[in-house]
Order: sequence, then structure tokens, then C-alpha cells
Amino acid sequence: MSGNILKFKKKDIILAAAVIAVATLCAVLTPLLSRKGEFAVITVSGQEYGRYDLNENRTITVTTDLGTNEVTIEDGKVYVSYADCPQEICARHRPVSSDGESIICVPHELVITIASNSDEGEVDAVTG
Amino acid sequence: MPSRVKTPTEKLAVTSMMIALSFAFGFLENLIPLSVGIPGVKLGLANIPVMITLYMFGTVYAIPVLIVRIVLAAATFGNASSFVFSLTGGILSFIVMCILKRTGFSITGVSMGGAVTHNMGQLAAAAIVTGTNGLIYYLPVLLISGLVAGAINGMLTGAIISRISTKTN
Repeated sequence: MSGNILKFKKKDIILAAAVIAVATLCAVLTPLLSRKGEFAVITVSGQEYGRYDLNENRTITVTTDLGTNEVTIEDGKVYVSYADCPQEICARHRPVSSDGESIICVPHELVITIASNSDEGEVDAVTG
Repeated sequence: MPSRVKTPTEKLAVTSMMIALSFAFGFLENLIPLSVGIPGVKLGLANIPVMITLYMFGTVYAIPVLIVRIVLAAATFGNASSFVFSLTGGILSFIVMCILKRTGFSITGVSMGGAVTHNMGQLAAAAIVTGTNGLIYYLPVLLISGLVAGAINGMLTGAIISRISTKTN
């Protein structure tokens, strides 16, 4: 019985291949379909906190009752340079720059979304 | 099944041990920083005891290992949102593991399928909670990391089960 469950079967290889195929497809398609973003929209608890031009290097400190996050815009990319949340997942996130990408700090209910002019309304509608 | 553990009391004792192990593995995993710039990439060690129970005693005994571990982990280290995320991923992956097990996949296949659906479940939960579609960028990384972690865990679990069965028989 244990030998039976251990034996790697053809089905397993097909499953692995299917997952790799889907992952590759997504990895190839998403950059093709995405455009470079123009703004970083910071939302706290579902309310828009601010909208910042990606071409302008700056650091934004967002302090709320839930905690502090420091958001840095550098060379068209956005990242969280400091956060006082427990796990600091947001601070370890890679910098984002493409339209629709986001960094989320769950404990502070903070969402940074990259947007461009054309879908300004859509982002507001979704986050609101 | 292969072990000599047969009476309900023995099964209960081993299942309880698996809950404790699963909880400990989950904690251990939190201590290992696995930073690839994307949240959600993890080893999934906590799933090993769930799979051992699933293979040794069946679905009925494996469900409490999964659920109790998630509740314990959320109560100890987590919060309401991490609880919902774990539960969504955990239940989805468990259902898929049961289906794959019954349709003749090996333990490695079961583990890979479970890990991949766990990650997809969490991603779906995150997408719903945050209301952003930008999370699609995480999908390829989470699929591949789930596949690799799942394969390793599956082979480990298979090796553990065969060791247990030869020792106790």
C-alpha cells in the first residue's frame, strides 16, 4: 500500500506540467497586457489617502490609528520603505510600477495601487 | 492501512499528536524568513501531518487536524483576516487533496495539487478582500512555488508514512 502511494505516476507529471503551463502563460501574458502606471494611489481603510505621480521621487509617511507606513517613490517604482506592522510583509514586497499592481498592508488596511489616467474611475469604484 | 494503530482511542491519540505537530510546524515555518518579494510563498510544512493523517486514518480524522491547527494558529499568532485566509486556502486544498487521492494520484501529486490550490484559494481571498485585480501578478510565482513546495512535502510525507508502517508492523 505504501509503495503504491509513493510511486510517481503519469497523472502526477501531467498535473505538474499543467500547473507549469498555466504559470508560464500568466507570466508571459500579464506583462504584455499591462502598461506602465502613472500614479500611486494610497488607500487606507477603503478611503483614498492620496494620489502621487510616479515620475516624482518622494517619500510619503502614512500614519493612522492602525500604524505607520512609509511609502517611497523612486525612479517610477513604489515600495514600502518602512512599516511598523507585525510581519512587515508589505515592506518586503518588491517595488511595483505596472498599472494595476499593488502592495497591501493588511494589518494597517493600507493599499497602494498603481493606476493610470484612463482607469482612474475604475479604481475608485473598486476600492470604494 | 499500514500502521498497527487500530482502536479509536489509539487513532484519537495519534490524531491529537498530528494536530500538535501541525501547529508546531506552522510556527517553525513562521520563523524561517522566505522572502522572495511576494507574500504567500511558504514551505507548507503544516500540511505534512494533515496528509499523514489523511493517508493513515482517512478523511474523517484528517479534517480536525486541518481545522484545529488553523484555529490554534489564528488564535495564537494571527488575527481575523489571517484566519479567513488560512481557512479558505486550507479547505480548498483539502477538498482537492481528497479528490486527487481518490482518483489515483500518488502522494506527491496529491500534495502538489493541494499546495497549488491552497495558494490559489488564498490569492482569491486576497483579491476579494482588497478588491484589486493587480494580484494576478502573484499567480505565476504562487503556482510554481506551490508546486515545488508541494512536491517536496509529498515526497517527505510518503517517506514518513512508509517508515512508520515498517516500524510498527
